[in-house]
Amino acid sequence: MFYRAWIRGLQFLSILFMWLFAAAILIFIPWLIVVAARWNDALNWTLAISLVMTPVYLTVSGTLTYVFIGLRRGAPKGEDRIPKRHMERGKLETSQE
Amino acid sequence: MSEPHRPLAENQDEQLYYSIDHTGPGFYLTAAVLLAVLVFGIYQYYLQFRYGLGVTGMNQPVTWGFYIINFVFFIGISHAGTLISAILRLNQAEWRRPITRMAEVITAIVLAIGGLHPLIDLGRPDRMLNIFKWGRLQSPLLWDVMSITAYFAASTVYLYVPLIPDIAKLRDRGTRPRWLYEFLSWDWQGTPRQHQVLNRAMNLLMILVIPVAVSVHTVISYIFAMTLEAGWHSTIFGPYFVAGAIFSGIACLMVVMIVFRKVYHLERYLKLVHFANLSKLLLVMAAVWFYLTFSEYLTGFFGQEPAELDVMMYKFTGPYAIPFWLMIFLNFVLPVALLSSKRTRTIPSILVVSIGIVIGMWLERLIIVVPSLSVPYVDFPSHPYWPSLTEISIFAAAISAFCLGFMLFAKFFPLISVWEIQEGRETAVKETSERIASYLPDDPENVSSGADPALEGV
Repeated sequence: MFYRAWIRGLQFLSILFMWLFAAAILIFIPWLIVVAARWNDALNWTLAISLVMTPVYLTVSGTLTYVFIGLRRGAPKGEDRIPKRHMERGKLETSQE
Repeated sequence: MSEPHRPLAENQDEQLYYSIDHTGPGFYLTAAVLLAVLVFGIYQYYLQFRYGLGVTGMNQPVTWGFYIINFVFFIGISHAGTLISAILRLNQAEWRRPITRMAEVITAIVLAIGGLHPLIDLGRPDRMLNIFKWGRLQSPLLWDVMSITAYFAASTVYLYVPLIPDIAKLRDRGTRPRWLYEFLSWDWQGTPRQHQVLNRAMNLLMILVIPVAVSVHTVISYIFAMTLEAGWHSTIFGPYFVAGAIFSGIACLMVVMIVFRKVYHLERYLKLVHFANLSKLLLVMAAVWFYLTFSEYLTGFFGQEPAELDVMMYKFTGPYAIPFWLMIFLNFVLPVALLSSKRTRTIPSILVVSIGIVIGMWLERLIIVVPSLSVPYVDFPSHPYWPSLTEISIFAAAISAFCLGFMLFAKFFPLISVWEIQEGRETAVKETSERIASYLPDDPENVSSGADPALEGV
């Protein structure tokens, strides 16, 4: 039970870190726009590059979250769940026979 | 002890787990040698960090040397993977199945290594942090940072997502460390809903990854092309770099395939047909590369602009003549000579050509980066560049890190996608037959009207 909770915790943390990374980039890009505006330093180029870069990170993070959540939701629940085969190699086949 | 009984499909592909199940003395010996080279490279970097860039061969006027050459080279190699894998998947090329995983692994590892090189090139890497405070997004250097980070993120995800069913297989086999496979498999049990999620994600990623991959090497070319330096200021540098990247990527993929095929006895999966198909692709890319190289130099030469001619002659007949002509030989003459004929298109000759192309493409990066700096616009004596021990050992460390990374990956995960091979066996033959039948003209007896059934009701 504790083992499964630990695995779940790790999986949750991985989603959290991924979104923290995406959020950091999504804060960084507007900050660069602020810097460009403050210094009157080719703001239009900065905006153009930002528009290209931002969706890429959002798509990658969104896709991975979709996969993680989708796989968890798509897994069989309760009685239908395929038994975990955490045993020595070959034991499953022996138990099925 | 007798082998446990397994379902036929699993038993058939037992060889694909060979690298995970068997760790011989050869593995440890190779890893130790590679680790020693890596540690020596790290020590050399420590010396550079302590004493500054004076320990390198870089000086005025050549301020970009091995590190930038290797940066462009490694990022180029990274196109092996995700781009080729995505294109083959999108085209539903059935022969892709044993190849894609290796290609994707190459991408993830070399991107991590290549991406570090601009940092290694800095005398004061701590100042890199200033980019977070005062970065200028209109600078091609920052475009590079953004595009490589995006490509690394996308290609790592693109490697990981199709790996999930195989991780679940390893979890179910009880492979250690169990917690790792349990954690990475996200409860994969192969239900229809899970397959649907996986396929949707892979379709989206392969469409996303192609423009990102193309943009990465285009942006790298902009670092050179956006300057007014002779030999760099060229409008075809974007496609030239992308074509070169795909070219070197395929060659690196072939080297890796041949080596791991031999080491892990994967002859049943990586067959001559796979090498023949990739060789044809390599031959096409050799022709494209030569065409772009010829166009690049012809337009420069035809203009007779003095600064441009100085750089060109420095390459053709000056101190860089040997690397230049060796590059032409390895990247064009050798592939055309050996890969054009079916008789000479054997695995040993493919290995020779592929290693030649990897070296040739490294020389191409050298030829692009250094001579333009050696012969500067300003009134400054021209000066050839020779790398120091520090740069050579860091280069060797980077190659060792690549080999070590690949070996470690093979120790934990199958190098060939097991589930895709099994899926191919079960469904691809029928699907491909149906697809081919759909290309052929309809049977006249089954066509009641002249209208295309697919368009009826539109």
